[in-house]
Amino acid sequence: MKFVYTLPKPKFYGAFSLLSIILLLGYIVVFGLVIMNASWSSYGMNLLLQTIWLTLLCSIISIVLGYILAYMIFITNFIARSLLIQMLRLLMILPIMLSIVGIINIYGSNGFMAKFLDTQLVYNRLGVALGFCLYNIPYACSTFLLILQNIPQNRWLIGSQLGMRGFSLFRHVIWSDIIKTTKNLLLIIFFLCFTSFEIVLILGGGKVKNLTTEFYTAMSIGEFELVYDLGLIQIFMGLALLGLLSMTNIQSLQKRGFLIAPDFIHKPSYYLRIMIIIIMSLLLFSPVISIIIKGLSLDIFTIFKQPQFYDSLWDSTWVSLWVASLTIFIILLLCIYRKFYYIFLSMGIVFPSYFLLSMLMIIAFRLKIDFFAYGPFFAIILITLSTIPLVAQMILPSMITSIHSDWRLSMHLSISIFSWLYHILWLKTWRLLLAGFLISFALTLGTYSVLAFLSNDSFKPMMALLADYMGRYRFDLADQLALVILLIYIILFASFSFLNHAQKDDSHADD
Amino acid sequence: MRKLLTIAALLLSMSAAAQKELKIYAYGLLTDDEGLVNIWAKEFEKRCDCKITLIASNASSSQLIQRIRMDPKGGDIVMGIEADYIEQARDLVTHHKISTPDYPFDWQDPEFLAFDYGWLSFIGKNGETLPSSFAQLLENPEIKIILENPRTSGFGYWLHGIYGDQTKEKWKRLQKNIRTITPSWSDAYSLFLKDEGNLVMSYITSPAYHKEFENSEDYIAAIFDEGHYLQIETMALLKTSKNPELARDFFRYVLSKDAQKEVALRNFMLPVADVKLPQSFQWLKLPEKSIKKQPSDPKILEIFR
Repeated sequence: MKFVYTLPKPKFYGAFSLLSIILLLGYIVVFGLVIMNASWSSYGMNLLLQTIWLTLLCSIISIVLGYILAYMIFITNFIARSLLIQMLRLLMILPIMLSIVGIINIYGSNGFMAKFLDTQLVYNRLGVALGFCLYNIPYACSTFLLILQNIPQNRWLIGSQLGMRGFSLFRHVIWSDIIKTTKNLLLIIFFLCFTSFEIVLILGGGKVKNLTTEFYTAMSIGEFELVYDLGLIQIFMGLALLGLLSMTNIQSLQKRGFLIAPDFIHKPSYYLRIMIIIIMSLLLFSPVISIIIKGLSLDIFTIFKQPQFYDSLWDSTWVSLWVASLTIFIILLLCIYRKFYYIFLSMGIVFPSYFLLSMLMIIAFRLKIDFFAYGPFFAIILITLSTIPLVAQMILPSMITSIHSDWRLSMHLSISIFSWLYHILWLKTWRLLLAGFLISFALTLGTYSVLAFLSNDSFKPMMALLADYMGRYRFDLADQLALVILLIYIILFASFSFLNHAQKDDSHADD
Repeated sequence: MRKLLTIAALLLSMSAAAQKELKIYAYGLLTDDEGLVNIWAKEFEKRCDCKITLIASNASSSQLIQRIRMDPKGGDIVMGIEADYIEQARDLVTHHKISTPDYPFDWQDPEFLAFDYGWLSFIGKNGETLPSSFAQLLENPEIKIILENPRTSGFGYWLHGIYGDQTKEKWKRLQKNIRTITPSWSDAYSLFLKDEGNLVMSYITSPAYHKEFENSEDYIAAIFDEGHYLQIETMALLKTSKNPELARDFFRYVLSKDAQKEVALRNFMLPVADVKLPQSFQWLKLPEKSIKKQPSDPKILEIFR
């Protein structure tokens, strides 16, 4: 169902349009700078063609496996089902370096899986594929589960009455709903893989590279010709994504389906389903579990005796609070002005170019701004831009669903925008907004690249401190800090799960 | 009139008493609480009656250079630019006008002064058989190494310094030895400590850290017959400096024995002055042959793409 808003009083429209235009202008200026300076060498294109198949293959595998897991969870009732669903969301927001450490614990040269299978699982193309899949399957699974739970109940009923099972059930009942999402998901996962840096460089063992690894390397050694060439391709791809995504509408969830498949739907054997769920869960969660198990042997209290820890905790906290607040504010506006959604979504893809080329632009134009005096301010803006896409993906459909039934009524009543924001949007979706707030907060805690560039001794968030400890051979403190960060994530995530659960309860009460 | 004179006298005395200020750019590990430059800055402040502001960049030499370029106010000194990167920063700095000290290596540069150095080396476990040359390493693909990106770490120059025109071919052969390549030194070293490889590329002085703070001799550097890449950290006077004389005084202090004795345990590099090294450093084996970047071939890093 197409869902279009007409605001009661479009006062914010101008302000939000301006914000979007500034962002677009940013694109255009960076794009112009890149075009002017690019040498148009074939290296970038060769790199693109070399890596495209691996990225595409991993994206397809992530989507297929994500769907299988989502379907098994949807049709199976088991203890801790809810916990498993929420845990999948934790995997989506973990800092990438923590995930990589976990993957190496299990699949690395001395990892359990490598020893069990007696083969080298990481530091090659397989390692990159493993990293991509383990990182993206939870995302695909969560998205598919949401779609499955929103297939109208009567469709399941008709399918069942017609005796559909297996492929025919998939083809006639499920397919039409998931195909749109699958296309978007494939695009997004493809680009997430494409912009991946650490996974490709570390788990690829140096034998695999992509546009982003080459982009960062070229930046590090000052090969600016290559930076511009690769930036050009990234921006073209970002624009292509923008174009492709904007062809589809955001799918609003109509709360018409089953949270769990009813008994009349045909299902494979219970033991088979449970086995698939257990195996896939073990594959996905073993890296995080390994970090926790290894962490048990650490003397975690040493980190609490370090004065720098509290300074960095404070820095991380206030930056994260700002980013989370701004993110939620913009998502609220996106909820109203959905046509701008894709501008922000595409920012997630071109962000590395956008950030680094913005730096080059400042150098090129010698702007009379003391950029670093306002480092935290710029960090907040840049991190917000990188956080919005994922958070919007996670909460925007549910938000639109929550307010769907009330928007028309509010229009008829001609209520003011502020009443609308408070009585409709806030009261109906505050838990979702808070959940989004916590996700943004968590994502900011795990951000490093932007903060590494903009931080200094008086502003050193936790990830920068982690890098410092590692740089000083203090791997013991780094391990402890990583564990503390993971625990903070688990606490935030538990809060998110609680809120999300409560939101669902509220929604059902509304029904 | 008397009031005016009093105010003028007060202003004059205030300006005379105003402290001079030095603004120093350096990477984060040099400027944090335990960092070498931070310690030097505190000590120098006591001597010069001046104020030192440290501007840290938690990034590589190249990003440190970009950071200076992005600062419209400019500063006085940059510290920590590796010798590989000095050409990128040449336009930002000016002649130091200091007589070059008697360095333990060949170093003559009108703009950049070396303040510490170290050799790149592969670190392995004490007790295991370590290769004694690159040739031996290449012959034993079962010896797995963890490298930092050769284009950003000096490893590329090391290999090129040994093999010259054959670098590309040797790099291809070395692929069999490579367990993984990481974005930074710390990622590489962390993986090595998790036993993910037999050798890690680091500094020849790394075992001194384990000896000094963990009282452990578990890790040693493999000394290669072909020689080791010499990594030199430099400092320079920025063109934007408002207090060049004070900056030169700072350089003189940094190069003094008093300051240089801090290098070993603060930065785990070697001092450029002849100072007594701590016990943990005296245990180290040092190479007999040094390899330096060949300035004639700026495109050499493209081999490692």
